[in-house]
Amino acid sequence: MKEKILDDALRQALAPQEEADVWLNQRILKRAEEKRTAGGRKSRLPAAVAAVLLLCAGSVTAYAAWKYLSPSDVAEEMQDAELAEVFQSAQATAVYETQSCEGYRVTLLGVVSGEGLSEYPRYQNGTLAQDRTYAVVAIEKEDGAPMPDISEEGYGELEFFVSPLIAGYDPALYNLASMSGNYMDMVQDGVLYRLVECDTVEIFADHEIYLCVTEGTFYPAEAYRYDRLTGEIGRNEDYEGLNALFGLPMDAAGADPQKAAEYIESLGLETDIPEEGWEVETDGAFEVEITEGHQKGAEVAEYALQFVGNPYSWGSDSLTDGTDSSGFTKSVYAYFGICIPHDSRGQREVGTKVDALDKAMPGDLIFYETPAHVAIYLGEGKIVHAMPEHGICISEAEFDDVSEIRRIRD
Amino acid sequence: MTKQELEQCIEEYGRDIYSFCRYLTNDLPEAEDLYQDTFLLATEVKERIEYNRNPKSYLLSIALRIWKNKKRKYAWRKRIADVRSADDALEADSGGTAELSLEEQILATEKDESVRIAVSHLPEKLKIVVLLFYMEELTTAQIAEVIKIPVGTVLSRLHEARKRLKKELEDVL
Repeated sequence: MKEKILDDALRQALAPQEEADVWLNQRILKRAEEKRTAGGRKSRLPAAVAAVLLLCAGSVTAYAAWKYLSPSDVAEEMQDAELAEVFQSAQATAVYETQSCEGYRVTLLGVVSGEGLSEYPRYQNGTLAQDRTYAVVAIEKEDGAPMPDISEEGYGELEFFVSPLIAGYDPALYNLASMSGNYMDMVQDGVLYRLVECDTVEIFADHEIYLCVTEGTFYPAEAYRYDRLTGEIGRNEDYEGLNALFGLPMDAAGADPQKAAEYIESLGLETDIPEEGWEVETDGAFEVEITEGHQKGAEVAEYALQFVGNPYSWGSDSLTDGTDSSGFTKSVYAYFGICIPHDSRGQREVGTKVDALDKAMPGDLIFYETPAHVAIYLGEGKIVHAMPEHGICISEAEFDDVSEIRRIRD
Repeated sequence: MTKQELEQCIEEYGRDIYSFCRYLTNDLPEAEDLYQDTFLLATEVKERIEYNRNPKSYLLSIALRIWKNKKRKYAWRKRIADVRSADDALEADSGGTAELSLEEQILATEKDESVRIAVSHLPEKLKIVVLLFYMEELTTAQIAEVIKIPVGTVLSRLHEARKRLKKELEDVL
C-alpha cells in the first residue's frame, strides 16, 4: 500500500465534522456565567470557620495558614496533579509569610525547585526546560474587596509582576522575563493565586534569593534597589506602588556555582562591552544638528533624548519605567507612528541600509556586534541607547563594533 | 475569558474539539462531559501566553489533561496499578469495546467507516497522536508540546500507528 493512500484515507475519514448540540454549547455558556457570578462573591467561609478567624486575628501567620489554599491545592486547581503532589512532599518549602503593602496583602505560600516536577514541562526553543523553580503567592485587597475574577473585565487591568530575584545579579536583567518564566492565575473567594515558574534558582542557593511582588507587566526598575557592590536587593521605600519583597528559602545543598555560571552565560544578557575607553552621559545635554532633508530623523533623535536618565529593564519597552535597547528604539519610533518589532533581530530588517557610520544621520538605528544591542544615532559620532547598569544614556557610537545601520525616517 | 470570547472560541474551535473528544472517549456522554469541561476550564484557568499563541493546541491540551486525570481517578478507585512503561501502556490500552457508538453515529462511506473503526481500535497513546495529526492537523512539533513528549516519541508513535493501520486496512484500501 502506498503511504499516500493511507494518509489521504486517514485525513478524509477523520476530518472533524462532528458538532456539539446547540443545547450543549448553551449549557457551557450558562455554566461559565454561573462560575463568573460565584467568583465575584466575597467569601464562602462557613460560620464555624468565621469564628476561628476572630480567635486568630492577632497572629498573621496562623490567620494566613488556614485561610488560603495550600500551594498543593492551587496546583491541583490548575490541573497539575504532579506539581500538587510535589508541593505536599518534603521537597517543597511552605512559607506562609504575609506582607502588607499599598492596600494589598501579599502572602508567599510556598516554593519548590527540581527536575521534572510538573505535568506541563516548558519547551524552550524545542528542548525541554528541565530544572525549574515554582512558587505560589496569594494576593488580596486589605479592605476585603474581592480581586476581579479572571473572567471579569477588571482582571486584565490589574497586572502583577511576581518573580524570583538573585542577590548579586542585576534584577533588571535577571528576572522572570529573561529566565524562561511563565505564570498562571486563579481567583478563589476573592483571593488571587499566582503560580510562577522559571528556570531553577536553586543553583544560586549560595546567594540570597528573593521573590518580588509588584504591579505591571515587567520588572519595574524603580521599585527595588540593587546595590552593585554588595549585590544586595532591597525595596525602594520611596516607591509609590506595590513592591513587596520576600526571602525565598532555598536548600543550600542545591547551590551549584559552576552550573549557575553556565546558566548566566547561556542567557547572554551581559554585554561584554569594554569597561574602559568609553563614557556615558546621563544628563541628556546634546544638541541635534538639523540638516536640510533630514529633519524627520532629527525629530526622532530629539524626542529620544528626553528620556536619558530613565532606567533599563530587560524585556520591557517603557520609556519612563524601564526598557531594554530594542524596546527603547521600538517605543521611540512608535511615537512617530512607525511600528517596528521589539526584538533587535527583527529591527535589522526594517528601513533602508546605510553603508557606513560616517554616512549615518540623526535618527538612524545603529546595530552592534554585541548580541541584540541597538541604538539611535544622534550625530557627531554619538548615540542614545538603553544600557544595562546605565539606563538610557548617551555615548560614543563606536563604543562597540557597529554591524549594521538602518534608516527608518529621513 | 469574557462571555463573548467564550462564544467566539466555541464557534471557532467547537467542531475540532468535539470531534476530538468523541474519538478520544469513544462514548457520547463522556465526550460531551469532556467537551464541556474543556471549555469551562479554558475560561477559568487562563495561561494567557499559551492560549494566545495557539488556541486550538491549548484547548486540545486541556482536553487531554482532563481526560488523563479522569482516567487516573477512575483507575485509582478500581485499584488498578498505573502502568508506567510506554510499551506496557501501548498494549494495556487496547480494548475491544470501541466501535459501538461510532458505528451508529457516523453516516459515511464504508471505507471511511473502516478507517475510523481501525483508528478507534488503536491503543490510546497511538490514537491520540493520529487524531492530533490527521484530524486536528497539528505539526509533530505542536503535538510534542500538546502532549508533552519529545518530538522523536511523536514520530515513533505515528510510525507505529501507521504500521498497525496499514496492516488492519490492507483489504479495504
